[in-house]
Amino acid sequence: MRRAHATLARGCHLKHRIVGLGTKKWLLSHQEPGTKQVRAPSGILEFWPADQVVSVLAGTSLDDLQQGLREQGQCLPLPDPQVQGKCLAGWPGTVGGLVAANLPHGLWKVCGGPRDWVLGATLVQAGGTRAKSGSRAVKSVAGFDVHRAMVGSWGQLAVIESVILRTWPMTAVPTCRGTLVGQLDPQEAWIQRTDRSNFALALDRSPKVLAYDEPSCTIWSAEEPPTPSIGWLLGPGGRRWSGQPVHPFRIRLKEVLDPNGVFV
Amino acid sequence: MMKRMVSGSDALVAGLAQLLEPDQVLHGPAIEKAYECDAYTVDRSPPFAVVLPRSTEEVCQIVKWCSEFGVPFTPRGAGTGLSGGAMAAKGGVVVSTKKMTQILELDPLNERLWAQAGATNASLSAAARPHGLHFAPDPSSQTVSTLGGNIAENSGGPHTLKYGVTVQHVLQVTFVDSAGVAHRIGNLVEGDPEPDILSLIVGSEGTVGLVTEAWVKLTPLPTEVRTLLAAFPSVRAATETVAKIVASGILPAALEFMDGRMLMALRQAFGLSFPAGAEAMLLIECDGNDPAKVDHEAHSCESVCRGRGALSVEAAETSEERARLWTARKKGIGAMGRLAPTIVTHDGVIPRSRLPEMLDFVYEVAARHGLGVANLFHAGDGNLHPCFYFDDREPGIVQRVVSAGEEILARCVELGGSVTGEHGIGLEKLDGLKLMFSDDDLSLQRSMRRVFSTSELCNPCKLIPDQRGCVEHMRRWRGAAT
Repeated sequence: MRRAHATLARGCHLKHRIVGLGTKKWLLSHQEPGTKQVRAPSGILEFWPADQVVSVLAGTSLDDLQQGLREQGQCLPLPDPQVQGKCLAGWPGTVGGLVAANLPHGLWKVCGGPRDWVLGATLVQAGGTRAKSGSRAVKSVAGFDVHRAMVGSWGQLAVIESVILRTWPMTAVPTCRGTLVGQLDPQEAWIQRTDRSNFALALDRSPKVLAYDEPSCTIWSAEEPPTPSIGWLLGPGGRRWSGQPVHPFRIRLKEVLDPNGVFV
Repeated sequence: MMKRMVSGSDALVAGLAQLLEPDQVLHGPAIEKAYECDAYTVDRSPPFAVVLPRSTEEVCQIVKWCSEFGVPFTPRGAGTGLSGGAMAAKGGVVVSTKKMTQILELDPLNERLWAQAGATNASLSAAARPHGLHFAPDPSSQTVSTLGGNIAENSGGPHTLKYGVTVQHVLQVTFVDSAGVAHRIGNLVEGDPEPDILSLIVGSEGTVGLVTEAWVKLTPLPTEVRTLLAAFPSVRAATETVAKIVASGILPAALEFMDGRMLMALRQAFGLSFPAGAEAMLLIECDGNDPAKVDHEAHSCESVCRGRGALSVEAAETSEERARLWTARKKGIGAMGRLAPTIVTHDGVIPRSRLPEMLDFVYEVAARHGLGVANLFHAGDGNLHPCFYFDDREPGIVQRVVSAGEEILARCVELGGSVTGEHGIGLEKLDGLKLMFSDDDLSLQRSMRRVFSTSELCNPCKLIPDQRGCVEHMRRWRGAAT
C-alpha cells in the first residue's frame, strides 16, 4: 500500500485502486494485474464537539471514529453492526468508504446519508494535486460542492484524503426500525432501493432477503433480485442498475478529474 | 463553433420574437431598468431583452439561439437573490421563469412533487400541506422566491438547522445545458450508487445551465411544535445561549437571533413591543412527532435561556401565538427601512460556537467605520446577516460599507467558516472566494464548470472568478460601489 499523495505526486500513469479496509471490495469490479493500491491516511484531525463537526482522515475506520465521537456524546447516525447487522449498518469500513460508496443504512430516512453529512473534503487528484472544497461551517454555498460529488464516486474520481463531517448528539439519534432477517455478518449482498409504491412488491419478489428497512425502502438480499421498476440496484462484482444509462455528465466528470483514467 | 453575428438590439429582439409569442419577449427602457439588478442593488447591468418561456422546450430553443448568435443569457426567478446572481453581467438576454409556475405532479405516497422552476417555494408547501407534507427549505423570501432560484442558490432558511438546505431536498432536475440540450439529472430514489452530479448543479447559480423542472422531496409536517421567544439583556448573553443550546445536544428546528437595533426598527415600523431592557432576542422552535420529546427539548432550551440570564421566555400555546412570535423575525428586514434609506445585508457563516466573539467583532467593525448595523440571522447554523443601514447620498459611505463587509467575511473565514451561507457568491463575492480557497482549490472549482460546458455565455462572471472579459466588469462594479 502506498500513501495516495506521495504515489500520485510522481505523476505516474499506472492504474490505482483506492482501498480502505476492504469491507466493500466485493462490490467492485475485478482488479487488473499491476494495479497499485492506495489508501488514505487515518486519524481524527480535529473534533469540535460544541459545533458538532469533525475533521477526519479518510482512512480512519468508522469504529475508531465512532469511539472518538462517543467520548463527547456524539456519533455519526449509523446503526451498530454488532446489533443490527452489517447490512443495516451500511457495511462499515473506513470513513472514505462511507463517502465513496454511499451505501444505504437503517437510519437513512430520519438522519440522511453521507451526502447530508459531508461539509467539506480534501482531495488528491490524479497527478497529486491536493485541493479542498467546503468548510467546517454547517452551511456554506461558496462555489461548487465538489466534496458532495465524491459521494458515490467509488474511488473513480480522486483520492478522498480527509473529510469534514457533521456529527449528531447521541441523544438525537432515533432507534433503527430496520428488520434483520438473515445473518448478522454476511460476506456480500444485493442492495436495492425503490420507492414506497413499489417496496412491498420488491420485498416480496426478492430472494433470500438478509435485511430490509421500510422507512427508506431498502432491501438487502443474498441472491440477485428482479430489478425494481423504479430506484436502483447494486450487486457483487460492480453490477449496477439505476434505470438509466450512465449520464454523459458523469463520464465528463471522470474525464475532467481523472483524464488519464488512473483511478479504477 | 463559429458564432453568427447579429448586431443591434432590434435585430436581436426580432430574432427572439421568431421563437416565442409577442407577450413572451420584453424589451425597452422600462424593462432594462426593471431587470438591471436583483435584490443586490449595488451593481447593475441591463439586459437588452427579457424572455418568458413557458416550457423546457422553449428554454432549449432560447438557449440554442443564444448559443448560435453568441448572446449571453442569464436565468432569473423572482429576482430576490442578494449577491447579483440574476444580474445580466454582460447584457444579453434574461431568461425569466415567471411563466413556468406549474406544479406538474404531486405524489404524496412517495413524498415527492414535480414542479416547474418558476413555482414559488411557498406554493410547493401549499400544495403538499393537505397531505401532511411540506417542502422544508424556507428562505425568508419564500412567498415569492422560486424553486429554480432556490436550486440555483442552494437556499436555506430558518428551519434548515434541522431539515437541511435545498440540495438535501432535490431528487431530480430537468436541466438545459448551455448548448440548449435538456437532460434529466438525479434519481427519484435517493442514494443512487453513482457520483452525485446533482450536487454540482444545485448551488451552481445558473452558471452551467438552467434548471427548468425538478422533483423535490416532501417532508412530513411535524405534529408537535413548541415555539419560544427569549429576551436577553445583552447580545453576549444571547449568543452564549446559542452556543450552549447547540453544545447541549438539542437540535432545535430553528434558532434565530435578533439584536436591539433590529428590535428598535420593529418597534418603529410595526409597533411591536418587547420586554424592557431587551438588547437581543432568540426565537427557538422545537418540533417532532413525540410530544414528550418535543416538550423535553423546549423545556431544556428554556432552562438554558434562563440559566444564561434571559429577562423573559415566552412560549406559544396556540398556532396563532406561534405566528405572533414569528412576526418579529419575519418582518425584521422590512422594518430596516425605518432606520435609514439604504440597507446592505451581508451573509457569512462561522462555526456556531464562535458566535459570541464574532458578534463582538461585527459591532467593533461597524463602530470603527462609523456605520449603523443591526443583526438578524440564523444563529443555530452560525449564519450571520449583519445589516448595515445608511444614507447612500453621504460621500464615501458605500465604500465604508463594502470595507466593513470584507472585514467581516475575512474574519468568518479565519474562524473556519465561509463567505456565504445562503446568499451565494454571485458577482458580489468573487473576491471573497479567494479568501477561502487556494489557487489549487479554485482550479478544482473551475474544472467543475468544464463538466457541463465550456461556454462563457451562461450567466457569465458569476460564482467562480475565471472568465475572460469579466475583470473589466468587476473593476467597473467595484468602481460603482465606491
